[in-house]
Amino acid sequence: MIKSSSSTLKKRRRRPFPVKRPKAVQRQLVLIGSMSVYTELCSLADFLNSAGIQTVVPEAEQEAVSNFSLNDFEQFKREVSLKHIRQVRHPETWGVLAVNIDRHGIINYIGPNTFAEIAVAFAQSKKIYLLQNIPNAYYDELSAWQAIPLQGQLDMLIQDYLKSTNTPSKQLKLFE
Amino acid sequence: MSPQPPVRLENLFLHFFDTHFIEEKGLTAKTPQFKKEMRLATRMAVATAQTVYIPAASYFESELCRSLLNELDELIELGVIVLVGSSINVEEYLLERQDVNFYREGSEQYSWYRAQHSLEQLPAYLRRSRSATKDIGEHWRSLVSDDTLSRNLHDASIELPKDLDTRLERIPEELGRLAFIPQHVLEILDLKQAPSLVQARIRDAINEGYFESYVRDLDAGVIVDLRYLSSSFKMPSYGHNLSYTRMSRLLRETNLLAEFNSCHPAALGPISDKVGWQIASQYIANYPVEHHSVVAHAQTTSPPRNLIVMTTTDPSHATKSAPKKILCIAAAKVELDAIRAKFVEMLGVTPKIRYIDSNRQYPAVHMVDPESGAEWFLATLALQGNSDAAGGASLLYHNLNPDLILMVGMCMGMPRRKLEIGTVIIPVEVIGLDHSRLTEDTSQARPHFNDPSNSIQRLARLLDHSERPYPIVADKAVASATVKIEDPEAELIVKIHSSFPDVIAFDMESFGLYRGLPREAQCLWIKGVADNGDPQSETMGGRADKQIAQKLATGNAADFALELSRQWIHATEE
Repeated sequence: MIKSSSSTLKKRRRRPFPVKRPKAVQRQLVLIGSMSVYTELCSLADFLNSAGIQTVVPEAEQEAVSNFSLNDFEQFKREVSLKHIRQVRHPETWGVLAVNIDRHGIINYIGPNTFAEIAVAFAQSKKIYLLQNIPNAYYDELSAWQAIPLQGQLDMLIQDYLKSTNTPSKQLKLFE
Repeated sequence: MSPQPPVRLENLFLHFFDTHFIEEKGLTAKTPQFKKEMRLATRMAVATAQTVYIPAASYFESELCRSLLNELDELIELGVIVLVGSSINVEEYLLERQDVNFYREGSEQYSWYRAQHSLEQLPAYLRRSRSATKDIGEHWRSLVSDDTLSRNLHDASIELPKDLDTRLERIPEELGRLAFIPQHVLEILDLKQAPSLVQARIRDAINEGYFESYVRDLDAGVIVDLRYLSSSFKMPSYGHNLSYTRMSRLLRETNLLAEFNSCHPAALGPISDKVGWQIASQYIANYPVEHHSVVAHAQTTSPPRNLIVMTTTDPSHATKSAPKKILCIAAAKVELDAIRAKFVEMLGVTPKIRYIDSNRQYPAVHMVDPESGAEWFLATLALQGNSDAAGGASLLYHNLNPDLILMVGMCMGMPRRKLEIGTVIIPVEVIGLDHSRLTEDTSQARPHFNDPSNSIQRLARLLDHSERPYPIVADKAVASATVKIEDPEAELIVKIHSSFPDVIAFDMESFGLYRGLPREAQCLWIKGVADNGDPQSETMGGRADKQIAQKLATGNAADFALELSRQWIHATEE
């Protein structure tokens, strides 16, 4: 016997189990920066965690990387970069903190990879924080993207986070 | 035309073994990646450069440095790796640091320097000719004069003292004889509680000057494009650089990175040859070097700073505001007393005792010449003789960093010359006669020569000697040996007369003085003739006469030294 279309629809609307959405997933802050500042990234993450901010740091470089062939090395770089960019774009990501410490004689240095990740964060309407000041080389862009220089002080970031995590993300979620 | 075979880069300086540099890397320095990069960069350096220089302090104070270099022992034997330090030789370097006052007892450095190092297994040693403290001072002044330092500090914090710029300018003078290290600078600037970024930028300014002093001294390049070992300041360079990133990419491309990392040191060469390393290092690793205009620690859009290049041989570039420091060395106590008395009489000032070093090891009599503003530091040696003159002069020089070094005192006139007592001698040549060969039936002297000609010596010769109330000889040679001559017919004297007819005087320190000081140091030996090799008198009257002669000879030399210093300061500040 063929069931009527209206009863099928009714059945479809009914769910066998009620879907439980996570009520309040804590929004995360993604730390970005080069591998050369990895330990600084980790200690900043520890500090922010203790202040109640959930953080994400890039995946640590495996020891074997130092002996990788060029193909393997580039494959590894691709995977790690992509993974971290996904974290930046993640709907639960509240903002990014770029660890832009002085390097090669350029104060507040932002490398190409970090700049790319900042650009992704901007495109996804995430808050952008810089650990130090805005480097001159990218002043126009970062100022327009409303990047906030912290000059080494994390208080402002923590306050902003606690204030704004009560409000929903500007980014639309796929299934909402 | 056939292509030229690739040549090895000449000199590479490895900064990353420096213990302070490692310390500032914090937790990063504990990671395996950090050590791996250090190891690979060192291997790259020895595979590329003719000579790889490492500060001696890094070698002795960093276990990591020693363990990595020990892997390359075969290359060490070939002299590819050279330690660089400020002491005359490595034995002296170790002895200085074994002193209980150099490093605190119980500190890691103390233990390392007290440990028994087998000197045969050490890399070759090269003595530095530049003074790091002086170079850091110059570098600091250049960063202050073009506002780079001030801009960088204000960028780091908005809450800085209003008079910071003026205080930054005064730092080299306010430090006086204190070491130019971050701790002292932060104290003077009242920035010990300042944000860590401000402190880090002060440290960077000093570290950059420190490393610049080395590469400038050695005409060396550095390894650039490092990841874990990269510095926050731009590493200064005075030679061709080697790009770590690009050379490791070359090894990855050829699947030889793992082998390069693990092979025996002797195999580094063949692997390098296989991948065309030397050719690659010529094309992809040689960056143009900006001599004397290294843009350091500046925002990318900042104008390049005009680095004032000052060398000790060119005192005309010295800043006028800083008083000149003159180190006056007297070998014997009697000379010290005579010089002090003469200076008190001529300068009309009360001498004070001051330590010339921050560790308070080397006291000196301090006087200021009211006419020229120069600060005189009158110091003596522990013993007479050439070896103490070399070691003592070197220690005093490196602790005080003077603008001028004078050895003032008395000497013996060559007997056959019959010079008037009190004649002042300025040598054009110094002959050392301490080295000799003794066989069964003969004693053969092995003379060595020092060339004392420098800017101050040329000035001494130019002065109008007729204005002084004593004769001055400034165009003859002086012979030196650690022997007290009390016989005008002594074998050595006879030999000097016959072999070196230009020698006019003899002393026990002149050769050591010039040997112990860097070539470019402005130094001059000035002594007055106190005797002509006569034996010691047995009578009271004879001894009294001798003392009068010694006082007169040293006093004349001191008078000439003071006049010469005034003329030199006047000429350099014109």
